[in-house]
Amino acid sequence: MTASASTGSGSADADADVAVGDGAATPDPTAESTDRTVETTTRETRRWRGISAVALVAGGAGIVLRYPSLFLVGVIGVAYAAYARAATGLSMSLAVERTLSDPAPDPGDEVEVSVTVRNEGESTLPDLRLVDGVPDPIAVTDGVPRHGTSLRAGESATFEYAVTAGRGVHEFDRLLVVGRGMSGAVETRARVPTADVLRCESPFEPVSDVALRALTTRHAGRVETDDGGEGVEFHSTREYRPGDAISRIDWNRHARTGELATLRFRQERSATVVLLLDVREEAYLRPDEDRPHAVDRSVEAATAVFPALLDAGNRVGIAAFGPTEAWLPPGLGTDHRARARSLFSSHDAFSPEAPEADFYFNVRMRRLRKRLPEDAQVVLFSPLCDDQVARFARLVDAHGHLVTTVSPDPTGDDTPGHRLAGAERAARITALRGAGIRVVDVPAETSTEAALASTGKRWSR
Amino acid sequence: MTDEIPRLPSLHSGVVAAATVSVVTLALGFYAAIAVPFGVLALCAAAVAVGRGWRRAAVWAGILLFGGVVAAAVENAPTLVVLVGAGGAVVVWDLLDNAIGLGEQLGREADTRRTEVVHAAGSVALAFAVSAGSYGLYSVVGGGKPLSALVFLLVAVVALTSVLRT
Repeated sequence: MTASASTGSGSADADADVAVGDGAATPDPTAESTDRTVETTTRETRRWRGISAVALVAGGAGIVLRYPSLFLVGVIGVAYAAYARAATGLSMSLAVERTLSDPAPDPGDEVEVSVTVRNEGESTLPDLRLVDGVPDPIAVTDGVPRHGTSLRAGESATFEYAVTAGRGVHEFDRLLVVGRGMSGAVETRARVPTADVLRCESPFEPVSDVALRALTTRHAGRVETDDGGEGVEFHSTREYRPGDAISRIDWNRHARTGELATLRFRQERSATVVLLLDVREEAYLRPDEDRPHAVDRSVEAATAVFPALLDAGNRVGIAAFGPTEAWLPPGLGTDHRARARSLFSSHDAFSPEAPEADFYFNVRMRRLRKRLPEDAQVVLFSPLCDDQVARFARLVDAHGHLVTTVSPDPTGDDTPGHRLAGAERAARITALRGAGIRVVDVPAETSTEAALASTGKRWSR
Repeated sequence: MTDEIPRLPSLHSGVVAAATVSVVTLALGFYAAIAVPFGVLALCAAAVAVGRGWRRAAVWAGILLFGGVVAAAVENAPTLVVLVGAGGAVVVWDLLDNAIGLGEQLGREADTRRTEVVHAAGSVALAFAVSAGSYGLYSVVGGGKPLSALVFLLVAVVALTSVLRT
């Protein structure tokens, strides 16, 4: 085993040492989990069937027609039939070691994977076909995760390929091995369990500014409100009342007219914000196979907005609007940030794979309303490609939780259908804006930061 | 993984199979011209097997070459050439079928050279061994009383094959 020799060099190694043969599978005791078992199946490929028929025909013809050479051809055929018949299942004992060039990359980074398979057994394995179990959401971008080789006892083979990491925790949990003997008449398949993990977390870099709506808590913060009082920016003046601070008296006006007036400034408060991510099956939309879907982009946007809001002194929570429940109550501080980070990268609700469970709108809606704090405003991340989510946004807004929608645009313009979906989405956005809900449209290839900045400029307070 | 894997047989085995077909065809054609068309058709079938990954085409390549061997045997080609030809026909089918299997399981892009080389070497070596063995048998037995010995051998062959098939 090479586990102790190769860990600790910054690379994630987990070795699997597996012996396969006669149904006796012995997973390596040092492997990380013991419940992983080697599944082995042996089957006959029956590829030599028919050879005896050919032998009989040739041999028989040789005898009947008295051609000795034809008869001998029949003998060759019988010899091959015996050869195929003599094949037995392989006894494989393999050590698998996988090395990831970076076990914790940022989304979109390329990671090189190198797999080494060593024949730990006594006998030569003439025909080994190896298929590495690349986790489904990961795309292989360079090389091939499959390899065919033959290994003498103690010999090892290495193959390499590169993958592009997507958000989430991906486990390389198996290597499929198909072993054949020389004749190929019997095939042994084994599933060698491995435990290499690619942990791909969002970078959590805050955007520079997120304009929130004027629904705030009583605590001082940085969200500018419509109320006059203590603050920085001028708001209005009013008549002097006894008890007003001298520093806030409008002395210019007093000099001009002799009246006493008090200056009022725009009050700055902190807000409670819940980031609500649309993770229903309907939100897993993308213009084509090569580009990230809307949920990935929503999560990316949310991981940029979350720290920005937190840094501005707001209490920020996270919720999922989908069949799987996820809820992080609004909070503050470093712990809260860490909790949010792990929630985004590993919670089932934000999985890169579309959910299969059923989604009940009313149940979710009720539960969410119960959970949202009174003074919480909502930032909804959704592609806005169906009416249900638009209705949801209006309902939440109507319940007093002012809604800002950040909407990654997943529509394409290559087919009439895609263009129609794009037009419907545009109409939906217009309707939402008409209902007083702010919508930030994030077109493909545009960063959240740029979209927030350009849309935010147009908003009044 | 969203990309479709090209499930086509590897080209290396195909080249070796084509070379084997050519060598066998040339050797047979030297003694019996009637074997040449069989060989040419076998080459076409082998090309189809490699290009499309059709198992049936691989079988046809083997059968056509075997047909050439039978034709050469009927035309009284030397026994050794016929035996090597028969071995070659099996090798051609074996290489093509193995390449198709590799293509199905691993795809054309995967590096499978090593297992292909080992398989081809084993297949050719076995074909030679089997041919040489039969020829040795023929040289030893062939001189004496042909018919009774052949009938006994036939019975033995039938018995052996039926045992092997169960």
